[in-house]
Amino acid sequence: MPKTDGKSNTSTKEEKTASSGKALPPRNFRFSSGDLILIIGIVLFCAFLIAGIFIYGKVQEKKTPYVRILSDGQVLLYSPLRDFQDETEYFIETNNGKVVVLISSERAVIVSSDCPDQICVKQGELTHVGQGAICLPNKVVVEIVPGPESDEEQEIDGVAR
Amino acid sequence: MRRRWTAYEVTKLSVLLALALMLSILEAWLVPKGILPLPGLKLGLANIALLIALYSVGKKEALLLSLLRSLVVLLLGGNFVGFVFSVLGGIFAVCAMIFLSEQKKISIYGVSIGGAASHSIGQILAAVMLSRTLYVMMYLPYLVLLSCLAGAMIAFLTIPVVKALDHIGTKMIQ
Repeated sequence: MPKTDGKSNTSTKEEKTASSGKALPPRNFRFSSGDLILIIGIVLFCAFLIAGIFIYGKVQEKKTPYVRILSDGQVLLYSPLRDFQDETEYFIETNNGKVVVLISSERAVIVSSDCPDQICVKQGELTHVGQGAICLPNKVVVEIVPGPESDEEQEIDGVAR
Repeated sequence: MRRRWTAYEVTKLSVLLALALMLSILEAWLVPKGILPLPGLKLGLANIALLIALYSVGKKEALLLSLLRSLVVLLLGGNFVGFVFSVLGGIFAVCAMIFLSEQKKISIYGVSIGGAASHSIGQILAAVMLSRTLYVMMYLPYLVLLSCLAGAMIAFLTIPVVKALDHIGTKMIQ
């Protein structure tokens, strides 16, 4: 039962502490300097992240693009975009639904999916290394990744015996 | 934890939980899903209840509220994936809020904004774990920034409630 002690209605923090055994946080209801520092810290952190991601993207773009499709962590497809001279549609069936991915030599797109929010479809075309689209409900990931070999690899034209 | 809870304490938490759930429903009704290309971006209205719990009831109650809310939403018709997001985001948020609320220089706005940012970070972590790629990290900066805006709004909405509860005083909230 709440303790009624006959005192006035306005409470002080000390009363609250005494009766409840724990202190409530200090009542700062005005926007203060500490808040500003916190916000600036968060903004800086985000700016740092965006810059880092941007630089990473620029580095990745130089490499030959491979398309990679993952379903629930399992790699379904991993090959160079070059290989897809004709447009190919991939139908991915998962426990949660179906996702359709269209791949050509230039791009990969999630064409359709039966997930409720359709964010993956709205992602649009993937053209550069580092771009990707994911369908979280279906746990499908479509990415453009750098190939396993570096750019300097020479193609073997033939083997002499 | 300490001794057994009184019926009064249980009721307090239950009312806050009901409030949080109701706010979630209200939010779902106000904002149709997919209005923004950014996944996981919400108004976070249920955090009003969380802030009230933190400022007017107690830290333990706030933590419990966060966990219970995720659990109840799961039981009410989720979505295990949603549950993972909710729990991780919620735990990050409450821990950050508890820490921030004790700082003298940080007002309720800071607590809410820090909580919102932590919530987003927790959710991105969940997304990275669930999708097994690092690609989701791309969303992190924008999600955090936008959630800070939401955090400020939540604090603004909660202040009158906390003030009113303070005003009512020890008779009601011990």
